[in-house]
Amino acid sequence: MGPDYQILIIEPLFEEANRTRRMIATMIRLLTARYLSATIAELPGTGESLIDIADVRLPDWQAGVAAAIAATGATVIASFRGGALLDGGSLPVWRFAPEAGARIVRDLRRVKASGSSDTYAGHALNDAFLDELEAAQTPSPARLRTVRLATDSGVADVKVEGSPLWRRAEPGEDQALSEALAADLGRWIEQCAAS
Amino acid sequence: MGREHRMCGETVDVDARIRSVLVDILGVSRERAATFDDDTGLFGSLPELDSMAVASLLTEIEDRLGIMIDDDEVDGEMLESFGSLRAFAEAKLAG
Repeated sequence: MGPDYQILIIEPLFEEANRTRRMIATMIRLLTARYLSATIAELPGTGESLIDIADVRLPDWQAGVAAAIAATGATVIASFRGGALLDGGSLPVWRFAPEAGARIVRDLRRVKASGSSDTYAGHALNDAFLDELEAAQTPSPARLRTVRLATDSGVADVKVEGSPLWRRAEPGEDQALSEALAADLGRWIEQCAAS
Repeated sequence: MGREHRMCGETVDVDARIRSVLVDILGVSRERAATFDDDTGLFGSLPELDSMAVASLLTEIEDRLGIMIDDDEVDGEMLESFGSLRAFAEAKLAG
């Protein structure tokens, strides 16, 4: 018997993905222990992708997520931070600390302005892509649960204690946060996302 | 310690929130952050605060205090010391 639910994870975007990799890896281990299988979506221009990030536009990422859903048979999406911009569709969505496109882009421009490189924290992004990201609206899926940190003033179904690892210069780990997130996601899938 | 400000009808301890941002974003220990006074140097003095970390620090302060910081307000003076950063945030909340 395989797992009943297949989770597709959409990571935070750009540098934030590196900073949260351990947090998400720990969550996946904990979910697996609950017989929930999870796969991380690989977006065009990131990770092992053969596409140059400099050529990527927002519809490429949306198509990448659709392809990952089809390939994995995902039944639920878990998105993090700017990954929420890509989680629209018919699947139930669990979000952690979703961030608006305009704020993601503002952050990227701020990092670029504070450094000496003409890339965005090492990512050579094209202007049209940044404009698309800036204008992107966070989707409103029919079945949605939003989790945020207790220090975050945004609207959420539940708030958890922890620190914003996606902003940490040195990648950190917060075991208690990973455990709280995995438990909330697991419970929500078992109780609510099943249909 | 520090003046208190109200945000959405809630009293905000700016001093404590900025200390917690330094802990969460720069990885400074809570014990060490508690020893910071107004003259404790930040940018140029604190090795954890490099130019990449400045962007994260400012964005997190915006989130936790519900303020917006324009990039042309950011200069060496504002980030020079713990006291100057707190004074900047307090002025933003008051204004």
